[in-house]
Amino acid sequence: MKLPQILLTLFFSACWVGVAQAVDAPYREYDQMEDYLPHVKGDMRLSGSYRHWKDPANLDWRMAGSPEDNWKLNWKFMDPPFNASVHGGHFALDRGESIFKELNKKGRFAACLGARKGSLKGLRARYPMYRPELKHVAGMEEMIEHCGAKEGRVLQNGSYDNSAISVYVASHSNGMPININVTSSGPLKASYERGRKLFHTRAGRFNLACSSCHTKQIGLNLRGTVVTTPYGDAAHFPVYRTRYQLQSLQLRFAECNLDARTQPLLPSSRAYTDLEVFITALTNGYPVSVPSERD
Amino acid sequence: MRISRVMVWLSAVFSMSAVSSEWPTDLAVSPSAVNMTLQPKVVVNSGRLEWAPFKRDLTRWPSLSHADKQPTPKPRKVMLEEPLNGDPIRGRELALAREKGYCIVCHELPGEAWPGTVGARVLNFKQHNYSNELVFQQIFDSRAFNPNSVMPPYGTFGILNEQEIRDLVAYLQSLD
Amino acid sequence: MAEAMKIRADLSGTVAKVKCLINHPMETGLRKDKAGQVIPAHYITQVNAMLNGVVVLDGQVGSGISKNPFLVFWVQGTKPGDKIQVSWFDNMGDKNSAETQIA
Repeated sequence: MKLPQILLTLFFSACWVGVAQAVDAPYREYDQMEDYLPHVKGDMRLSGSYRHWKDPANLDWRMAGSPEDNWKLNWKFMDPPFNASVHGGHFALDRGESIFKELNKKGRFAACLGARKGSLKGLRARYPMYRPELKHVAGMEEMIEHCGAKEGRVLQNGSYDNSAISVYVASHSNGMPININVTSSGPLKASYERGRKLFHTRAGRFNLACSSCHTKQIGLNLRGTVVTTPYGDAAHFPVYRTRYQLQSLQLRFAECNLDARTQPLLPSSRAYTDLEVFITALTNGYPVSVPSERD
Repeated sequence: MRISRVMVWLSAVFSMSAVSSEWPTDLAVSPSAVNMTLQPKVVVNSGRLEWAPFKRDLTRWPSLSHADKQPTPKPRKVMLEEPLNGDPIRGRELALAREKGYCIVCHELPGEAWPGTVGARVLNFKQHNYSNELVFQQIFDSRAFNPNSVMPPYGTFGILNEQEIRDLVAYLQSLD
Repeated sequence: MAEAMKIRADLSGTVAKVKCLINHPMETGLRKDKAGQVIPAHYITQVNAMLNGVVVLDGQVGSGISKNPFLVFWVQGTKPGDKIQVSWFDNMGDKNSAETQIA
């Protein structure tokens, strides 16, 4: 009886050592790292389309109506105030308001989210931020899930109710420029750097990184769609989309991953949060505009 | 002695399953789903996010998770054994098939609307006089020529098998 | 009680463009649920629009309209401050209405 046991132990330990060695440095490929400016005007160095969409209220109607040129507006013609249409995002806004008011009867929910003196004004423009109670950087939706659980309500990150609250909270910051600081050292800067690296990490069945298309191929066609710039993309999330009803930024990452045939991650995962910080930093200086729609 | 050998064999199987089930905890997977991989599904007026099975298993390739230890397959040089024996008609079908080559996403092909403009022009491909071997390597693993290439390594990543790449080469070499 | 609906009216000259989004399941009565049971028909049959209490639109609609219908129409001879009211009735006796001021 002794021999098999010894053999087993030996075998297991050999296995684990083998795994541990393979685990340390998996082979990865990276796209050439771009030099990014954590501000929306950095797009002038990348695609130059920023000059067409920098003023959300005064976009060019002719460009918005032209299939050849509308990518130059970075789809901002579907954001309020240029787009005065009513859509499902307005239902979400109402839903978010009713749940928020129900949860925030004692003011604890808003305080948990990080509101100063109970006011939601400008809160969305400061997210993602480092939350001491979670001991890591968190996006708005992750905090809503966390604070909802404290009030005894299930609000999973990415779910409709969670995103609806996020839209409602963001609506108080409408028109205020996104402003997160990723230049002075701290957890947010570390997260930004990890996100920047992830943006250039090749992954999935096609060995594609985000940057494989969204830096060098901007303005080119992929079948019927046109590749747009990564700058200025975080200001209108969560967004109403016909196929998804309401989509948070991290669910959008999951959709991007699936479209490029890469295994998606769960919302609130560290990798998606780092990407969210990176993408939000590239939107610094662009006003929050919700509820918005995309096709 | 015989029992011990069985046990060692069992332990080998066990440890292998332990390795393969060692996914990072933040992957959207379910062992009970058809293809492991899940896609999110938003349900209106609900605080829960639902997940539906995705049409393809994507766990065989690395994800963006920080904890993902799955290595990317390294660039591979391949030799093409002549004769080519490719079927150009089958090659065109593969070039337009969503689940196979789907070259049309990036490359313009004759007789097909809404081509991509990202890839190099392959109209009149025959006029370039590339060798079969070079074209085969480019489709099998383009990283052998250019490490920064964005063209997916169809052969190395197991998207197309060797005969399918031969068909594609035959199709491209027939475009004049 | 039916859920809220959204209405917006923009004036250009004397013509008001009214946009209206109705929250409604619009079940045709032909669909089945996962258990194979037919989902009962539940759809809007009538949409009315009133300008300062006078009917300007009387729409007979049916099950062929999509879920959460989006309705746009133009009203002539309007001026700022006019009140426009849109209301709907469905086959289950449910109804709802929303009112807005033309600006």
